[in-house]
Amino acid sequence: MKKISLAAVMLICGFSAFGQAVKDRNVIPVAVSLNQVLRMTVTNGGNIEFVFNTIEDYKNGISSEGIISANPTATSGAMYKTDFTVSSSTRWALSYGTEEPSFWGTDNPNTALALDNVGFSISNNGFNTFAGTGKVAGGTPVGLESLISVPTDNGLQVTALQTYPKVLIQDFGNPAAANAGDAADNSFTLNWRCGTAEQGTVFPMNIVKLIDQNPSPAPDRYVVNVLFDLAID
Amino acid sequence: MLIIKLFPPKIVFLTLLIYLSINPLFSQEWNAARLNVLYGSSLPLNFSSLGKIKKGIEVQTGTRFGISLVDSLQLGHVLQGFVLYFRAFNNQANIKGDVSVLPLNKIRVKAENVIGLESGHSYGYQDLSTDWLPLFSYTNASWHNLNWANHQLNISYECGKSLADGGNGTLLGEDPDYYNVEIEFELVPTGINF
Repeated sequence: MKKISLAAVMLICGFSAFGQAVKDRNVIPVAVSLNQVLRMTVTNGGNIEFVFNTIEDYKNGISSEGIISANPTATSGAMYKTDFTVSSSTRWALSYGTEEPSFWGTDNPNTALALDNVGFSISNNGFNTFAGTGKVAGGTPVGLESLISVPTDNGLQVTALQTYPKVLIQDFGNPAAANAGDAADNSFTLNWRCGTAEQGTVFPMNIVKLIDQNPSPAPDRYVVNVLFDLAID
Repeated sequence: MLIIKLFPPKIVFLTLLIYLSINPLFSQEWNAARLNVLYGSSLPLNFSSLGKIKKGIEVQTGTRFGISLVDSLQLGHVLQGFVLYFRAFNNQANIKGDVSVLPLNKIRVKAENVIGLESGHSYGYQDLSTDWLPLFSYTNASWHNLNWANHQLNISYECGKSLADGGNGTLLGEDPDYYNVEIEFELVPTGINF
């Protein structure tokens, strides 16, 4: 009897050990395609021309920021501004510079005008923000600082025009905020000036005004192309 | 010696024979469960414009599951509902591209009733992770078996939503690539002694 009971207990234990709750699983593959978007658009001021036709212009220069610049007596006008936007899905860098090492005369191609007679500052009109003064890429960010402009000390200084390529704006490297964004995030104005002799801290303009230069620049129409190159940073 | 005395070979053989012959009849599972994919067995998220990259993508009707859940009426085991869990398949730690990776939580998943599971509870959008997380639970003390035709869940997906929109950040600044992850769903029955 004992043996039979023991066998019965074994059987019952065996039954319950094999029963269980049944689960089910399914797998859904998800793919994320990130396409590159990288575009620069000049919305205004694609062609800048300074016309010096008074002695005052030669003395004080011509500037888009005549009232607020270091040279408040310069002739000013909104036509000396270039507005542009950058749309990028990734961190980006904008290089710029002139095709030639100096301005060349159109009437007399043998005459030249030094590039540093022309300069510009940058105004930021977008939601992305420049880092503070003196900061370079990879520095310690404050808040959502995402833009660096070494030639203009992050938008605070006037820089002389340089030959291509010079990095004008780049990503700060802030882990919390990339400079990627659309045209509303990355909207800028270049405030051009010529002959204002402003001394930026990085690339100062020619400190001698046009009227004081020796030899005096020959009357001519001086031209140079300025290239912009937008790339992934 | 004592064991041989207690269990002579004849008795052991007979017991094993009876056990093996009738065990399948008595060791039935406590329930049957099936997670049927009715549509949306794969999901492409194509970020083809800056607007999508900046705002993210939400696919509200991404996958539809049919739920089949049957109680086997095993003594002591009472089926009363289920929980739907999800995670990255094989504990994949990130969303893998050819070159770069994205954090798993850039994808969020939500399960909601479509038909037949109105009294269930949706946990809303949950971050994809390597851990099992609940998406939807359903309990009915007076249990009626569920079948895929009349009990369905809709799975919604969102990817790259901004923090302001309740997501985990946009994909702005991320490298262009073709990223992949497999999401694993598990239907787990619940009830007394489950």
